[in-house]
Amino acid sequence: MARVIVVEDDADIALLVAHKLRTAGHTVTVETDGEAGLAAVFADRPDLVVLDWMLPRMNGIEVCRAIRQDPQVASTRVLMLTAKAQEKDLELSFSAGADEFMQKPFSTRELVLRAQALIHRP
Amino acid sequence: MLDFAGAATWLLVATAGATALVMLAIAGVRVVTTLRRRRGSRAHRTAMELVLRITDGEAVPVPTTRRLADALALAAAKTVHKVRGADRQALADWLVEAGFQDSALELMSARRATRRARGIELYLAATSGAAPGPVVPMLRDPHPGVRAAAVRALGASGARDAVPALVAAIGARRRPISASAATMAIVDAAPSSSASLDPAWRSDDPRIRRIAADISGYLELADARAELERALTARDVRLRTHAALALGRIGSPSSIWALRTALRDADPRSSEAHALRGAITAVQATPGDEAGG
Repeated sequence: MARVIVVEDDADIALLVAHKLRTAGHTVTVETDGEAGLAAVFADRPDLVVLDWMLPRMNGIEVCRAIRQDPQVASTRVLMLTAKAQEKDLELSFSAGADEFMQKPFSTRELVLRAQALIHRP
Repeated sequence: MLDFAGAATWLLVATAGATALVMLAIAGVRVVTTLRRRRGSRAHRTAMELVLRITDGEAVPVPTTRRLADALALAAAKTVHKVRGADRQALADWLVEAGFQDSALELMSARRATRRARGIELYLAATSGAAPGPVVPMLRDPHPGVRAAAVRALGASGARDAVPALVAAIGARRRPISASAATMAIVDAAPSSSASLDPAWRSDDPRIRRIAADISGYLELADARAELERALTARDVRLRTHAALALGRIGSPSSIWALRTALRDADPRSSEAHALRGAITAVQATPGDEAGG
């Protein structure tokens, strides 16, 4: 069982993702903006962050960079879940330190599988 | 006859009474609005719990109360476009089995525009955008809100079959649709070839051809290259600029000569020349045997 933080401003998507991850046995917290998401990462030290790109207050790329820059949480796995779909978006995500990238609309089954793989990655 | 003090008192009381009434009315409207919103969000929360159960594969019956049934149909219809795979299929199947596809078709011929718009959303959700036929005529609906809903829903449902109709509707002189919304809808529907953009390329209106260029670029439709290279010599400078940007996005080295020729003829300080230089850099950065002709 892993600790997961879902940072997503679309309440329905957040609910859906959190539900599927909880069903898979994980403990899930939901935050709806980038700043709160980053604060939760520092406070809870999760195993995985499912991170939307376009977030209020602080976007997903900024959150991801902030996670990577702090040694205390730098090893946290980050899965970007975004409507952005171009190659340069993918490049930007990975250069910011994301471990995985998924495009919306998305399959929740695929998301859970990718999340599990990230969590269990040594 | 009233004396001055009496008249002033009467006026004061009347004004105070009217003000109090207005304030009461405002407070009443706010209370009603807040209650409605709360009731709506409560219904949506309950509906979303049912949506989760549907995606979990449970057989969820149609709620007996009309409010919750409507909220569930709406929540399912909205969620369909946010997910794909088994979840999308489960929600679409539920909407059909619960009879919402039929009621969507009825709603689409309702007198009230809001009901027609809702019918569009429900119908496309129930069919996962696979049979957009009945929605296409709604692009010509008399109400702009319904036309906008049709554009939005067609894009969100990824209805590729509707792309030619969307292109034609952009160019309509009567009952037009928003060009930018339609462009985004077509990009969302992501046609895999530029054939569906043919009506746009054949248009006399450079604005429409510009949209075809934009879409070809966003979607990196390599088979639009010939049309785009032809557009580099169009009379409309904005069309030429958009074509250059699109060719840069497609990034085919084969476009290099067309781009260089266009740059030779362009005003060196214009945004057209800037776009052409960017496109030349982009196509040169793309590996390929054809570079340089």
